[in-house]
Amino acid sequence: MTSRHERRYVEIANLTKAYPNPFGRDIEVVKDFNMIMRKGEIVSVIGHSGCGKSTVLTMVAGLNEITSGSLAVEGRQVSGPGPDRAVVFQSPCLLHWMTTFDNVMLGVKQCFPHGTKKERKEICEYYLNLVGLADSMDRYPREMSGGMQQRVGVARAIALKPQVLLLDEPFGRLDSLTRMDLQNVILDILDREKITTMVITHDVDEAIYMSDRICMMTNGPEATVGQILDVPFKRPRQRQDVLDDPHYYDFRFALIAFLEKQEHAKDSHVAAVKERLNAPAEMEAEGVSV
Amino acid sequence: MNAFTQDPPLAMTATTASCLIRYVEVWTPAPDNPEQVVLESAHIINPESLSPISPSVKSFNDGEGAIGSAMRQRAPVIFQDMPCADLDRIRSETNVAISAVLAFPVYFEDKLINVIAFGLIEGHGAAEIWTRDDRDELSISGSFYRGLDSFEYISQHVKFPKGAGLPGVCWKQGIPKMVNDPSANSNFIRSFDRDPAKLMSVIGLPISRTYGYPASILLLMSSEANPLSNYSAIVKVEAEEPTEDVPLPAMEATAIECSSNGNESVSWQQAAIDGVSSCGRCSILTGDDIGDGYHAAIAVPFSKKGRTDRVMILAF
Repeated sequence: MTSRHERRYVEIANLTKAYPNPFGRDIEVVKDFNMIMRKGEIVSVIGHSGCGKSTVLTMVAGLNEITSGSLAVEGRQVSGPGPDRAVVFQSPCLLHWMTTFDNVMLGVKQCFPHGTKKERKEICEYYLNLVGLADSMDRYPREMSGGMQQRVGVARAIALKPQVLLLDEPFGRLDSLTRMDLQNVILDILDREKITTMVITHDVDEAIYMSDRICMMTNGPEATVGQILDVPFKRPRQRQDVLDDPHYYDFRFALIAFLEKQEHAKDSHVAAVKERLNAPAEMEAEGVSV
Repeated sequence: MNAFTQDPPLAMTATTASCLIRYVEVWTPAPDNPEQVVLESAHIINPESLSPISPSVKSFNDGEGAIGSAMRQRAPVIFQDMPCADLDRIRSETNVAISAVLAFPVYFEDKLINVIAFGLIEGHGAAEIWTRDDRDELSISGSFYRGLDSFEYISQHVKFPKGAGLPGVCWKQGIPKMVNDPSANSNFIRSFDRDPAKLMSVIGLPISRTYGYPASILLLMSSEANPLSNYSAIVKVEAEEPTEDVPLPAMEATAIECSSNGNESVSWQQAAIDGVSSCGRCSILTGDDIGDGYHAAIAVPFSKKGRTDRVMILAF
């Protein structure tokens, strides 16, 4: 890592999302989320359902307006969606009347309008080949399994050659075997293309296997980064090597313990936030006592 | 939080466990040399008494040994690997099997007022130094762990952004914090359940400041087997800003923000705080003023916005 922009490739500073509250002050579902990602790094965001993980991802993608805070990619402030940040959702969201190839070509045409037809075709074929769909380019979504459709979604995102790839529980609807298979496909691509990636997941094993860092989010409202874990296993990784590492279970235990602690603290956290929302503004100044 | 309006009933649960801190030195800046600290006091902490000693080394220059390193780095340092001149020095002069030396500077705003050195014995417990890294996160830059192997391994890979975890809260708020029963307390996020040492309380201390924020955070962890001290507390105090006319304003304890089980009586803790306000530095309290069940107490002041704001009290 040399340049400052590579060391701070994605800078998320004090990212906050608030929704109007008809009975009082706005409710901040995510508050002061901070993260710095290095170029090529894979960061998993893990937390309980509804804590605000996907809210963070959609704000980074520009699909959800930021209430306050800032986001910079390679030193450039960004707002709103753009081809520099591609998203893969849990559901592949393919256009069912288009073939696999055409689904990928749709985005490629938008991102590379000055390329020749041949160049655009090569891009689509290259990325469909990378996800193992070289023989299925003319098939329609209805003719493919859920796992294959998600591969198309991944190819469609990566073919845009984004600076940042955002994966929102991309394996959530897949069976275990397909999930492991697709994890390997994505890791192979990321190792090759060095795309800076944020993965939203519930799965601690998936987070450990796929990530360089794991960001653990506290419960909402006012969800934020609770703790970050650097995963020291070298990439490219072999699943069995990771599982065989004597410290694998230290990481797994640390993640589960964090989630359990968040679960136990949920009621008191919600009560404390409610109390603060109802309290006069001057009482907030001192912060929370520990 | 216990309101400091009246003496609470005595809860005499002073533990007989062997304290992790077995030796303490207090150093102050030399009046005529800002690059040097001189010895103010040195004590061996015995189970029943505090024994003053007179070490042969009376001063350290900036950068020299653990004391001088803490002074130069404006941050805590932990020396535990042999060969170590500081460990040899303390072991030979105290005849106590000290296994690590922890030294940290104490500031009033930007002015160094003390360097404190603790001699830690072999036992169960931990001390961690958290420093801001190039991602603006806190990561561990120095540590002492005993009986916490799994916790130690994971902690080396943990980072806290500002406001997260106990180090992040100390960083954000710039004040010392204490957490009791960290296994059940959501403000202490890391888990240590896989280890033999059972942590009872953790104290986070912000050390020095850069642009208004602490440059590093020191975490001191008490285990069931070896608490740091027999009683520990973070006390909120009220004090005026020092002026030329009143350079050492009186301090009044207003609340015990958090404390371990023990004698929480106001009077003896106020006496320890009076010791701080009388000299404007750390103080060691012994004799009749100390609370029942203890024979000595160390009071360490922490400032915020130009006045002393919190005092950490460790009683033995």
